[in-house]
Amino acid sequence: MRRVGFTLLTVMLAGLSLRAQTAGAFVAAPGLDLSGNWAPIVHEDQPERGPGPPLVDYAGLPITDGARQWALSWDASRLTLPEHQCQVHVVSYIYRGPLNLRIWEEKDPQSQRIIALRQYISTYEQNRTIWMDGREHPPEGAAHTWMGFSTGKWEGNMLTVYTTHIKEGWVRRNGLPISDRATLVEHYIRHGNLLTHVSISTDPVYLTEPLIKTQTFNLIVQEGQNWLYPCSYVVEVADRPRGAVPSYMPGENPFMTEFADQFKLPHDAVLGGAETMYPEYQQKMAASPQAKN
Amino acid sequence: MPSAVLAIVFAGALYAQTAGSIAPSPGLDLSGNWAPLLHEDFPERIPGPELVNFAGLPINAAAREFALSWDASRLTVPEHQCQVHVASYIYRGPLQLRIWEERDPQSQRVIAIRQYIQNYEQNRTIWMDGRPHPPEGAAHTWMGFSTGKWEGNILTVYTTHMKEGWVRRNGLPVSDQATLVEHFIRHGNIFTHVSIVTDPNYLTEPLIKTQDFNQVIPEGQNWVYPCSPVVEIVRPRGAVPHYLPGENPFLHEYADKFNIPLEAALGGAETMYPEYQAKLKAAVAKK
Repeated sequence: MRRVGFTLLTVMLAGLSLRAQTAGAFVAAPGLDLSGNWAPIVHEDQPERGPGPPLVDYAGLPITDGARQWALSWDASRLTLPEHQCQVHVVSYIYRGPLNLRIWEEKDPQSQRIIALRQYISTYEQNRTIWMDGREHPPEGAAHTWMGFSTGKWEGNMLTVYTTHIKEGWVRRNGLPISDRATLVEHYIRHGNLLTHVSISTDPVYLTEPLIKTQTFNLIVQEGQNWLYPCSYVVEVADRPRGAVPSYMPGENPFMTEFADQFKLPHDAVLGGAETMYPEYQQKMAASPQAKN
Repeated sequence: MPSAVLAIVFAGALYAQTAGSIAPSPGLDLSGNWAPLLHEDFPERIPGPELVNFAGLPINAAAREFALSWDASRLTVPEHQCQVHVASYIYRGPLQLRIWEERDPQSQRVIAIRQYIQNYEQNRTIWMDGRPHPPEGAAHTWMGFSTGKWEGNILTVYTTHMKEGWVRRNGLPVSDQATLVEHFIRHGNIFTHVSIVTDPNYLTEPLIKTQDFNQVIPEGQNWVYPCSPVVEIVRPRGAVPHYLPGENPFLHEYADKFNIPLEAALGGAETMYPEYQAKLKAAVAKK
């Protein structure tokens, strides 16, 4: 009996000690863990993402007249300029690149609450921070960067991110611009080892409606992916006069009808605009003279 | 023709950007939140081991003597209430485990694999950059000093400079001269953790254990472990609960309860091996 008594006392004491250690230890955190290495499933929109979009194919994009005019003056040879060879895709476009994406959490070492979600994007070696601690966006005049300034919150198991202060970039890499006034809303939706990324770009300068895109990523457990992206600019065209920028004057773009003619599309359709995004536009296209030919 | 020229220009630019950009790194990515599968050795891990149950552990006579003098009430002493499980034991705790990589921002090579272990809020670093271990006289810590390397897809970690702890939480000690070899083996969303403890002071053979973890995607786990010592029992200053040699009142309790010979309960390397079952049966029959 005495031994049993001792054992009971010992168990009770151990129990007290365990209670002292764990009482109040629960810190609830919403959402899912997105940590890991993610690779894009590039067969989604592969012709646009691998080979790249045809010149003067603006179909299905809610662009303004200003964006269209900008793109028609854009000469692809501009990419050979040293100043543009290493130009980073802005955050609203970079997830369509051939990137590998690494995500990890930064936690407060004391409270273990999430301060930020960090991302490293292999394309152009970009580091991105999504602040999760409730901080405000900087004032309007603050510096703009390729990745912008991002804050996030969990809506159920979906991470929603809002980004401002992005540099000028493009919405399609055949010259269609996005301005530095653009803002971006993203949703990260994890389904097991798949991650769906929804991006919604709003641009008061070059878009008449928000542009919504999705892309999916696959969790990669095996190490050894391509994580670097060295880019050193060189003189690719030697006989170009100093300061010259390849461009087309209004009405002089020689590729104006190339894509439309190749696919027998109405010229209006390839020049894009919000109307071309919607299913109803198919009827208008079917009635066009080019389609009938 | 102009389109063809442009395509070549594009290709040139792409080449300039990506040439030489492969940075292969071996192994697997262990990043994420991991939870233990506690049903493995559950009786030892949650209720805790019985007093004077040293069976199956390759302890030496000194370890046995230490443990027989250990009084469980020692856990009520303020200095011991928040005592951390050492690296060689803590993976048996009811821990949540978070793993992430620290990479060189330029080369993107892994510098270290970081771990946060919820149990006792321990941060652990496994250096992957080839650095040597510190000299013998360097400070010892609960988590020790760890270096790792990939052997195929197995992460092998070597740890030195741990503090004194225990191999079983019923008083069996592990000394600060112990070293630890671990293997982290990922199978999809499960990983197996193998630990091999070598201790010249308290073990006659390496002690090998395994435990499995399951990847946990939902957030909301228990990540903090506040522990503040309090006076649980008013005692004379400096008093430490213990038993003098030959006076442990629980010496026979476990052996008698399960009708096994006391010498089996007292452990030792022999009790680890299957052949010991024959000796055990003979002893029980004789008893």
